[in-house]
Amino acid sequence: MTKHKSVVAVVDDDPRLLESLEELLESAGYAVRSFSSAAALTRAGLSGLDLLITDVGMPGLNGFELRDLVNQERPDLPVFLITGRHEIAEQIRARAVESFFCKPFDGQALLAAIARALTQQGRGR
Amino acid sequence: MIAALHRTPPFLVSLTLAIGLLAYWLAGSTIGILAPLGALFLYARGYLLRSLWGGLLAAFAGATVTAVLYPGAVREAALSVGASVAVAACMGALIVRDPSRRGARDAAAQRQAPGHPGGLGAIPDDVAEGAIHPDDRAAIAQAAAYAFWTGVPQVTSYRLRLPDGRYRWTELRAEPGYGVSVDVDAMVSRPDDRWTVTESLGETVQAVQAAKVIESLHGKAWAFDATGKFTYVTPAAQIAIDMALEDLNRRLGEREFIDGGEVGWMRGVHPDDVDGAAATLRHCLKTGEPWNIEYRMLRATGHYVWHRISARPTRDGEGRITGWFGTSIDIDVYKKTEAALREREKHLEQLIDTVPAMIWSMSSEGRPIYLNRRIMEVTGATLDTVKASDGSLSLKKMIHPNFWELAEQTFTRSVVTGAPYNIKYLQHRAGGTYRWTQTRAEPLRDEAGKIIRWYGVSVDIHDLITTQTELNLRKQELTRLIDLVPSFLWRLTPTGAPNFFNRRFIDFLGIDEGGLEQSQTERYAAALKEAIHPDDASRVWAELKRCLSSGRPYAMRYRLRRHDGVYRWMDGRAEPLLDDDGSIIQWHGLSHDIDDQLRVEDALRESERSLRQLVETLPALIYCAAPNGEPIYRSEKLGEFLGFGLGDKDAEGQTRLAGTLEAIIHPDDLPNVKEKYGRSLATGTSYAMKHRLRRADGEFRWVETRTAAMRNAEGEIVQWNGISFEIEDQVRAQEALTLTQERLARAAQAASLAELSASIAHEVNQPLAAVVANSHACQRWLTSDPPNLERAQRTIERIIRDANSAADVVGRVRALFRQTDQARNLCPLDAILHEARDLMMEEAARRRMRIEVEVGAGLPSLELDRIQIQQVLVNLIRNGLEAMEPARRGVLRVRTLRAGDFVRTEVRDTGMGLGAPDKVFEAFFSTKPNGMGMGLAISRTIIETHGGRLWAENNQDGGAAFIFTLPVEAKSDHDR
Repeated sequence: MTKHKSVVAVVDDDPRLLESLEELLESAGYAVRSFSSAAALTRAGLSGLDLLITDVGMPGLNGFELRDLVNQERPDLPVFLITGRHEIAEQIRARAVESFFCKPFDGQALLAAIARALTQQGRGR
Repeated sequence: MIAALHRTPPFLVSLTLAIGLLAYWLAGSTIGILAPLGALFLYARGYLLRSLWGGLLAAFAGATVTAVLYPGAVREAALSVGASVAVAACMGALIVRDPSRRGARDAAAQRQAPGHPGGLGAIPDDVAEGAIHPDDRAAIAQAAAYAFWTGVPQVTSYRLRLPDGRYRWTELRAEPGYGVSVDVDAMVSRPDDRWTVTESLGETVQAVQAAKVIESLHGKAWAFDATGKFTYVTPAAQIAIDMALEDLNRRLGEREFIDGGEVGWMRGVHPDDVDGAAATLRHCLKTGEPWNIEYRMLRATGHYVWHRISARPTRDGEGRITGWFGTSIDIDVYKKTEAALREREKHLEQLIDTVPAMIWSMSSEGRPIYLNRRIMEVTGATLDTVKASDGSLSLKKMIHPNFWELAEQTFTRSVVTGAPYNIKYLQHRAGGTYRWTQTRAEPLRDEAGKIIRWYGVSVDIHDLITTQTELNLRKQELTRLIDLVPSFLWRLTPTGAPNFFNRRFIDFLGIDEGGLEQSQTERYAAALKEAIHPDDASRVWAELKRCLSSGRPYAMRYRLRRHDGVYRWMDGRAEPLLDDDGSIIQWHGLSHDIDDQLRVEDALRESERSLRQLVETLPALIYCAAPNGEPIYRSEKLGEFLGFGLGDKDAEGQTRLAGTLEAIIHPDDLPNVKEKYGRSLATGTSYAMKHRLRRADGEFRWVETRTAAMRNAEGEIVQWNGISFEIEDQVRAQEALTLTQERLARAAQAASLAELSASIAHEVNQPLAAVVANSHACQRWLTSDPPNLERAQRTIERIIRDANSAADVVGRVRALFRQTDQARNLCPLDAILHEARDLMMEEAARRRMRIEVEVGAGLPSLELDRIQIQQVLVNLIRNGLEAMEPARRGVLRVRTLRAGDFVRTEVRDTGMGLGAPDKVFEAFFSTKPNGMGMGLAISRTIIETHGGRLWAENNQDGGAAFIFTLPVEAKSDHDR
């Protein structure tokens, strides 16, 4: 365990979910930056971030668009998508995308996936 | 006759003589010599006449002797000559004048001639002057003179000396020598009448001499002295008044005449005249002025007779009056004539005044002299009002101002030239109006041709003028009317010669009316002959000839050439005008330009033909029906399709409509068609329906029929026109389409429900996700070393909060299906039922199923959410139809009726029935492969929120029944 805390940014328009993810990630020892919309995140900038978790269904830029945007600027930054729409989730799952979670998601599984992603990223660095 | 002969010219007499001798010579008859002998007698006088007589006598004697001596032919001839001579002698005796009668006539003639040189004009010729007694000669002369001067016949006795020397009294009547038209008594004097002469003439000798001179001239005279005392009076005068000198001069009072006293002669003067006569005489006696007076004098016969008296004084050398002489003339005849004339004039005036004409006269200079009473009464004019201040004629007050100038000119011209005056003007009437009057005047001229007077008459011709004006106006109006009539009017003589065309006809034909070398009739006839189209001419003239000879009305259509050369179709008609005995006076005709009309008719016929063609060639089935729906027309295509005619299905006991419908409409569609068609016929609304129609080969084909009412101007239906399109293919395609649509609809329904559930899931997932994440966090805070209780506690609080939030979402979903009662209104359930039925009709037909609706009587309106209840019904009907789907046939019966405080509605199908009637209402329960199982659950929710119940049961004879009730007085679920 390094002294440096990984920084995870969370974007969701629902403040309750934003709070609960922040709580979960902090309980796992991450530094969390919460944003209520994609626009808020882009205003703050992507520097210093190690991982991004975003909701799919949001007003303004949705989760997929935000991911595409981030991928252009920071291709190395892992992006996790979460959604309450199961039909979308099923489609994506059918393509065996790991970085995708359905609400309500399993907290332990999410944290494990995050840790894995950060490790891979560190190895790749 | 004799007199006439005397006037016969001598050459005629000579001619007679010649003809007579010629006749004697040629005929050998002595008759011929009668005329010459007669002529000789006519002219022979004196010696010649005596010789003639002698000759005749000798001839007669000779003939007699010869007849006695010689027998045979000689005797015959002698007898004939003798007879002729005898006849000639008789004629001579007749013709030759009797000398004594001739003398009498001459005497009569001479008595009438006054102023005979001998002074005795009244005395017969054959009475020699010497035959009258010398004493009577003066009286006779006086009587004759007096008769002439006074006009009064004088009858005087005188002594006539007889041949033996004795005298005999005889009477002479002396006439005035001219005709007197008044009745006058003759003055008769007798020899024994008493008269006297004075003993001494005194100073009046000279006066008496003068009186006698007058007497000798005049017949009557007298003289008196300076005091008025008579010294001589013509004896005849004394006799006439039966007063001798003594009587005349006798003093009747104290005073002398000259002093105002009365004397005898005054008794012989009419009492009315005597004072005047006496007074003037006294004045003259005193002054010596001549005495002239007229008064009535009492004659011996007892009659007063008018006399004119004149007296003049005689004076001596010193101028002193020595006496008076005078004469009195009997002016009774004059007075009577004057009175008679006055009477006649008065009579004439009365006549003129009473004649119903306005008569007037004026002088030769044109000054008004006389207006008859009528003209004054009628016009209100008097002589004064028609005279200017200088006495000349002024018509200012007599005629209308408009005519002043004209009348003035006409009048002046007549007065100057003497030409008769004739003018018409508006003349003033007493009432203040003016009336048309014709005034004519002609001059009366003297023998020299000089105008003495103008006589005029005014005649009121107002009524005549107004009638004439009215007539002229009528004539003008009629002419204008005849010219204005938008037709051609003409007139023919009984022989067919045109003698009148109205203005329009003349203009139409372009007849030049200026040509004078032809008569109007010839011009018209020529124009007509040229104008008739050559192709029509022969039949037009032939028909006209037939009509003219038979007298029956004429009516034909033919072409006439207009002035611009264009032929126009005409409808010509003519009728004869008959007189009382039925013979034709003339023909009156009318030609009407029907060219445009004919063109329109042609166009109409063409249009009708093309319309009919259109109707017959249209790929549609067309029919027409009477207002009551009875078929009256079928297009050929419809006839071919059905294979029978209009009346082929007529049968006893039913109308053609009913028979036809039953024959051609599919039995399943018939009730609907009858109902809808019946409603259209009853209400007049258009009809549109899809149904199956039986083709001639027996196969039923789907058609769409539309019918609409054709109305007249009053809005009444005159006919129903209908069209049917064959839509078999369309229906088939539609069925396929509908099936697809239904699948799509179901898919859409499913999709929408999926969407609903997804959105519900999302709403619920959101707080649930938060709860799950917080739970994991909490667990980590608690399991960390050391456990972070503070953070765990905060996390648990969030968990509780978010879990409650999820429960709220579920509550909101439940509330989605709970309706408020704000949309509810009072609605008749049967209306909703019919709407739902109509919505599902097509689907039922496609599934070859029928929906029968039965509505109980007296259903109350209910407080409903119309759309929700309709959804429930549609849902139940669709469920029923779907349940019967495997059989592909059947009837779905919907019945609604009152049951106590509820209205009960049943939807019964003939399908397989339900395995578990209660379970079907559970959400997500479905017997159908694609169903989501939400419909019945939602339906039950809807019914229950209306305060009713919905349940299902199986029918006794198979199939299922869905039944729901609704309360008559609906309670909202809040009240429950």
